[in-house]
Amino acid sequence: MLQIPCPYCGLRSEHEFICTGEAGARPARPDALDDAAWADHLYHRDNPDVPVLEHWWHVHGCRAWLWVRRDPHTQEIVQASAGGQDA
Amino acid sequence: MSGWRLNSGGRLIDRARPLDFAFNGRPLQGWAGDTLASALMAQGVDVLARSFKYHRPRGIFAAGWEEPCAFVGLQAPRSEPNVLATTELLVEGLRASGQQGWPSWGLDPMAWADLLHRWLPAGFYYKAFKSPAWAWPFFEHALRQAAGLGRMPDTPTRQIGYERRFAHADVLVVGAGVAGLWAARALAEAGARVILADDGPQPGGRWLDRPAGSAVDDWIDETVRALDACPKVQRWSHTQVVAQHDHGLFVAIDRSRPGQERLWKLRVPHMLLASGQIERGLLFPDNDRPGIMLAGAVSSFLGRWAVAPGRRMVLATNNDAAWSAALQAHDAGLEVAVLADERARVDPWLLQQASERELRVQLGARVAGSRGRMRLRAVALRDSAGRTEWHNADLLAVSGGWSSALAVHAQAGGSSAYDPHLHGMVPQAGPAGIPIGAAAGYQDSAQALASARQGAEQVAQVLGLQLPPLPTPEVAKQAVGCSAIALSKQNPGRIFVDLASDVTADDVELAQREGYEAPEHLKRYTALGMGPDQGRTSGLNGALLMGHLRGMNAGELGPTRLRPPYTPLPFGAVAGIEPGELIRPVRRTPITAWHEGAGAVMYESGQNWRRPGYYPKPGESMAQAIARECLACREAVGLYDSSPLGKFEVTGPQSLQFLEYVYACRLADLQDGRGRYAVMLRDDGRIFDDGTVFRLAQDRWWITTTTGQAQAVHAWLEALLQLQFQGRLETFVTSVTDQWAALVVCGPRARELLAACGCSIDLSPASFPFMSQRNGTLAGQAVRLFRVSFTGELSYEIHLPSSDALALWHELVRVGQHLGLAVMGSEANHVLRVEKGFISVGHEVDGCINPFDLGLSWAVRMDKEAFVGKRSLQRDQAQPEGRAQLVGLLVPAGEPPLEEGAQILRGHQVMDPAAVRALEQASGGFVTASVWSPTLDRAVALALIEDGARRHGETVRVSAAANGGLHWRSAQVVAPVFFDPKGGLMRG
Repeated sequence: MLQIPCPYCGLRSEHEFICTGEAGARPARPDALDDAAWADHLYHRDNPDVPVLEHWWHVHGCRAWLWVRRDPHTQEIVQASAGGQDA
Repeated sequence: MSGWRLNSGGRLIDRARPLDFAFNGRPLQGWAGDTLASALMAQGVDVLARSFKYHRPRGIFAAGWEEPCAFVGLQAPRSEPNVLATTELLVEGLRASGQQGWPSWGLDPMAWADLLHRWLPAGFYYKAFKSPAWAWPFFEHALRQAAGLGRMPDTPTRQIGYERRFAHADVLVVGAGVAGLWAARALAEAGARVILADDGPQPGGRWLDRPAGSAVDDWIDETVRALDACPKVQRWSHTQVVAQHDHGLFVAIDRSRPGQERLWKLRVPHMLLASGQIERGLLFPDNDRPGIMLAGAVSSFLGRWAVAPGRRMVLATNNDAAWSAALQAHDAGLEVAVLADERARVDPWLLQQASERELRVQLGARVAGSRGRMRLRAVALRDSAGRTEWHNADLLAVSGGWSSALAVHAQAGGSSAYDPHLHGMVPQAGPAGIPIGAAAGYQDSAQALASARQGAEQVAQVLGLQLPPLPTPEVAKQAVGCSAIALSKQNPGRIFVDLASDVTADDVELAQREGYEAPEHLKRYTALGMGPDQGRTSGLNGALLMGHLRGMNAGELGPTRLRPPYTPLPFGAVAGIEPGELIRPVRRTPITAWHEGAGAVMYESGQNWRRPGYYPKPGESMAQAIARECLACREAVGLYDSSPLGKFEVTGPQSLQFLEYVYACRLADLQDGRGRYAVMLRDDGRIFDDGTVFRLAQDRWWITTTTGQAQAVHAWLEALLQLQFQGRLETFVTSVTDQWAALVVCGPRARELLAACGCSIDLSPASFPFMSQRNGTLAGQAVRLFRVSFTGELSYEIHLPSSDALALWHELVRVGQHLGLAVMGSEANHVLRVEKGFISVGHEVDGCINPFDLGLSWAVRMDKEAFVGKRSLQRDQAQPEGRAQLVGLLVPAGEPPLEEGAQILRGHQVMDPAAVRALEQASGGFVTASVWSPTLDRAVALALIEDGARRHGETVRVSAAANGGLHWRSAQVVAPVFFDPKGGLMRG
């Protein structure tokens, strides 16, 4: 059970959050992508064994969406920041 | 009748408090402080259980949580199967019985399994009962009857007194032996917040096994007093740490009140593992007889409960630590026949101890076999020259070496290594915890205390604390040598590696021959370590044996992975004070109590809302009630509580820009007070949610979502605002689902009803047309009125503050009764929307459907510059062939409705009902909603079928269940609207 350092609320239990998985920037101009590139954005995730950037929503707290860099191997939370600032 | 109670001693028992209890109906007596096992042993009970597979008689093998055999069924004070006799505290009136005995426990016909063991090797049922395949369910039933442990209690758990609590500290010390006590006190006096948890009734660890009165006892007393005086210390007995999860989350269970356990969740950054060691047995033929017991357990029963486990004892060991059991037994008055050690040389100090007591010592000797069915009678010892000698004995203390109790460390990924001197697994310090004392491999108490100091210092350094000087007890010398475990198989007889699962050395060899060589495979193939004891005494022996068979060095093959929880937890404790309904609180609309009072059949719908399904009148069936409610709406007026609808207020200067991006339709052209049906798509172009969007003012919007998706929509809108637009789009989304109630008045007399209630809004169609919104008062209440319709009728959705809603509901019902009003539940609402062909998320929208599939192209503006899902819709438009599309289905008049979810054949060929497997390939769609329409007096359905939009008029085959099989019904494909196709009624 992880503890996520919310920039607004401090160290909080994973219970209070929803994780929506790997954070990918949504393409600025989807029209410019061909079908393969668009499918890649929609369906393909790398799932690497190194710290990955994820989206976590502090739904039972301040309701901020966070960028969280988590090491899936050690479960270490390397960094967590709120909405605007990319981690 | 071998065990007996000593006249004196016993640290844990209170001889002033006798307790009556019963085992297998036989009245017995013990003392307060006894475990069920110690009390049974003191009363001479030898056999407590029949084994898992072979139904062999089994006694008590260990003294604590590592016990693999002594599982009993408890009938009082609570009903519980698989209770461990060695840890269950005796209470007045306790009733227990042996499991695994049928028809009676003493006479167990299933003992035939023991005689047939040659034909019942590991995995035999996978091989023997595999073919023909259809027969497996019958065999499985019979096998499950024969195997398995215990019976489920007939009555539900009494959910009273269980608790779940949380605690935080700087350090958790697991185990209150001398090492744990020393470290806890040092860190507490240095200023740390310490939790010291021990699963025993009192602190002291293995010292409780020894006769009382040593200097160490005084030191333990003093240390406990110091700890209890320190306000930063929480010292828990009867409390076992059973799990370590990520980020320092520990789970502990307080069992001081059996049947009312308390579950602790602890957040602690540092853990000192002072959990001691677990002993394991020796591998020789017939090593499972009642009366064969771990040497350490003999010490425990003598020291803690003053119970002698037998009268004439043989000790067989491969290590020094076990010798103390024989010395102690002799001192307590047991006859010790032989002290046999597999090693040719042992510590001279041990030999001196034995010779002082004039005990016979045999070095280089192994157990070769044993005799005695319900109790051990004799033990064969084979010396190094190969001569075998039988000794009469009713107690054989065995010790095959010691291994750290490292589960709580290993669960969190802590590594461990095989110690070539200890011949056991020793955990290594790391993020998962710092082992100290015997758990770190130090059997000698002086070394154990030194490791406790080291561990405490490591933690203190990180916490920035300074350890104070502390008293350390003087301890006598303890010898600690050990040799590797070896197989003694010259004599016939089965060698049990795992007593709990009845896994023998032959089974391990078979697994190796058949290629299941890895410890994890060995475990699954033979069930080694899968019993309720989780292989605490057997797991390492199994891995060592497999390593030996594979020609590897001792320890090259480690035991299997350990997973939480360390010991079984009662579900009641996990649920805590939130069992049943409380675990998921229901949501109530302001009207829910009224619905219940009106006799509605209540449903749970989307996100735990309690809402009415239908309101049966006395004597009315479900179908009759739904039909009555539907017809009232079509012919007069219906009233429906739609409050669970998701409601959001979206405001801000750039709210239009935001909503244009979120919804597929155009919104910029909406005037104030006008609204539109809108679908929200996902990036992949599939429908995510639908609802209505109303413009209250230029920068102020009122949007509704489906009941079930309200939170998901909220998350999505906030994700876009915060992550994609990163706060640059000045827009605010406020969830007002709970703050606003929604009451729907629908039917030809809806306008009449509102007017009769007294409405400040001009309700004439010209002034208040379809899909528009007005503010005003209704029956004196301030309301927002929306002209939207989900039933196809003239319809008003009344939104008002939740606190005012019940009063308005009462007024609408009171006034409406003169107009033929019926209150409607969700069933009628469903029928009416199917008649009208309106879609419902969860029925027609299943995550694979785009708006074009549902004929909603009018709700999509592909000419908008950007909206979520547009890119994927472009691809769908380019490849429209074969997509599932919404249609209506009609069955011949008079036939009952189709089944919701029924498959629709792609072709017209009727399938053989037996060929159900081929159905997957043959399915070309399914029924999404199917109802009896009281309006049309026939069954109607909506369905998604391939290329459905251009197949109107075709006849399709629809599956239907009948008599446990399948049959096929015919239905005609029609346009997905059965009532008022032009929509004149709702616009009127």
